Amino acid sequence: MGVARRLHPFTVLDQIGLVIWRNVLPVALVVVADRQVAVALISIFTTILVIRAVASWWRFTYSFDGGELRIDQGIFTRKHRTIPVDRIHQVDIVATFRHRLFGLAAVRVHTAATGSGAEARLSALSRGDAERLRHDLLAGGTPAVGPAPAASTDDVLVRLGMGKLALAGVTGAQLAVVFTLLFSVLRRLDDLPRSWFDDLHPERLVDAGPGAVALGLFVVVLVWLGAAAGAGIVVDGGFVLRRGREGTVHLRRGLLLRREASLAFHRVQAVRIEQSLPRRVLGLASVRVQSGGTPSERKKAGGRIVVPILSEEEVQRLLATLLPGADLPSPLVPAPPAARRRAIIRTVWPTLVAAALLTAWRPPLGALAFLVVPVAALAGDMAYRGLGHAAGRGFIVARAGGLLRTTAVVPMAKVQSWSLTSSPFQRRLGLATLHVHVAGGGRAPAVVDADIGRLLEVTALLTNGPAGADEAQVRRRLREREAVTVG
Amino acid sequence: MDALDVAADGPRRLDPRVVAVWRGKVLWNAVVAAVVVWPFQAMIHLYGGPRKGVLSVAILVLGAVAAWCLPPVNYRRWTYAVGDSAVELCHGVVVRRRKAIPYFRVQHIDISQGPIDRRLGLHELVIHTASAASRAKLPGLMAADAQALRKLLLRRSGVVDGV
Repeated sequence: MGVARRLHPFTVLDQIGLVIWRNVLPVALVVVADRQVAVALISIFTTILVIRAVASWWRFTYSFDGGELRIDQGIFTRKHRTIPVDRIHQVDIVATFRHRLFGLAAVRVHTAATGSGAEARLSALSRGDAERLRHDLLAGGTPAVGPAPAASTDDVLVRLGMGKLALAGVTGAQLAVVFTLLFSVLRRLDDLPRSWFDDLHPERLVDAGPGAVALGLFVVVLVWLGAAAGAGIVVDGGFVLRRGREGTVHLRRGLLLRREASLAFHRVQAVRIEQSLPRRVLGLASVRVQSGGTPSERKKAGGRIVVPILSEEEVQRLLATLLPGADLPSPLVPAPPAARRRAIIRTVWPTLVAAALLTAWRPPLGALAFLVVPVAALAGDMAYRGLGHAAGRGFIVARAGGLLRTTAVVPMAKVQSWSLTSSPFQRRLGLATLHVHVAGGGRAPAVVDADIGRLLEVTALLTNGPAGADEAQVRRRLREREAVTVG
Repeated sequence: MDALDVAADGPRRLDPRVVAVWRGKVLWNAVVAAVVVWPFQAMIHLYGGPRKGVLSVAILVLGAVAAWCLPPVNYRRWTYAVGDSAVELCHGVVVRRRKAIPYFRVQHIDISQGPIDRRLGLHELVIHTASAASRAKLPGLMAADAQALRKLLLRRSGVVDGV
């Protein structure tokens, strides 16, 4: 068994600090209320906190012997977790501001089991230890002796500067950041003293005239876009995606919270290319690489490899690197014309129903809701145009979406199972939808509304052929590793 | 024949008693729905809905009718086949579904039994792969069949050992 090691003592401080930070407000209230009781309570709780933090740090050990990562933790209830190396899909190094101050980093290990707690977290190691551990875990061989391997042999796949990141923020999901900010601000408004609001008079705003209102709106939009751009820069600042040794890819991003993710090529389960409407117009896309391990916390997507913005040709190059053999320029087979009716009906009937209900409820005004119907039809048509698929050369490509278009590229060798569904409407038109399931969570890539006959051919490809070859490869790798450790 | 039906080389049917299990499920769901709606009926009545109790009774009646009619239809449309390279399931009345799990993708297999299953001696196989979303459920198997099928699947999942 490998040498059992403890985490860096910084963990203790970090844990204490976290609890204190979270409880500042209630503590302040108690202090204000009754000083003596407060002092007594605070000293009791702090003592317990410190003892607990030190004890849990003392009782947490990890060891790696080349074949398994073993973690033992727990003060009273001991928990032992063993993760065999060949189950490890992804190893991330995350460094918050506090970590970087002391030259430390946290390591997160992801396995194929999605969100069932199978991932392991080592909250503070020295930087060198973290990188060495990551290298060992990914290489899956005997632990390296000496300093971590230098990064000189790596070559950069994608590097994003601030301008591009700002563009990514403005055209992508960061636009929603301003709403979360607004929401948290509004929640705190109740806590502010009333006197601040006595001087605000909304009526005066309207009196100011249309020019001022327009200016106000302009400022609002500017702030909104600025916040989105800023969020894009902070979340992905210093974005570098490089090719590592032994068929891995490393990603480093983040201004305040520095995240590093590593992924082995053979662990890639699916690659999704996402284009929102503004990005499609500009010829840009974002790429999401799905590995077999998904972080159990949905909001922290730091474990997944996401490239926020790329030009379309850069996307091709990246695909060629990650999934050699995927021939994306090949045109996708469009959905049959019958699918167009389906797509339009799908978007139109809910709006029709809603408009009808509105009209029944508030007769004159409600009828205006019917104006939305042609817009819905247009959206349905766009959704139809977004449909397409291709299957061959060992890959399945499925594209769908009107406003937000997603193209999923899945190696046939990674398809865990498939399911073919058809509603009565689809059956009447000879259509069906094929879902291919891969490891690692997320929505299953689906070929929507395609011809049944064609889909049956595709499923025949999936069940035989390349998938078996992949499994054979995995088992061969397992056998080779066994031979090395035994011999 | 429906294009979505499983290939003709040996589609199997479930044990006919599974219809009773499904009927039990439908009735149970109806009872739960009726109970859940009960407290809200006074409020619905205030807004011009039907009288207290009518809604719950209606749900129960609907549930009874559904429990009588639907499960036999569902049974006729449920088939599965243990093919050369994958196990295929084919089911669904309104929305037809056809699922396939290649043998070497099988990670593990659970056997589960509801209360009615236990009384009738039926088992349900749940086949797991590495993908969380693709669980295949195979209900209405007799004990011997379930064990035999489970052994067969696990054996075949280890067979593909190409060099």
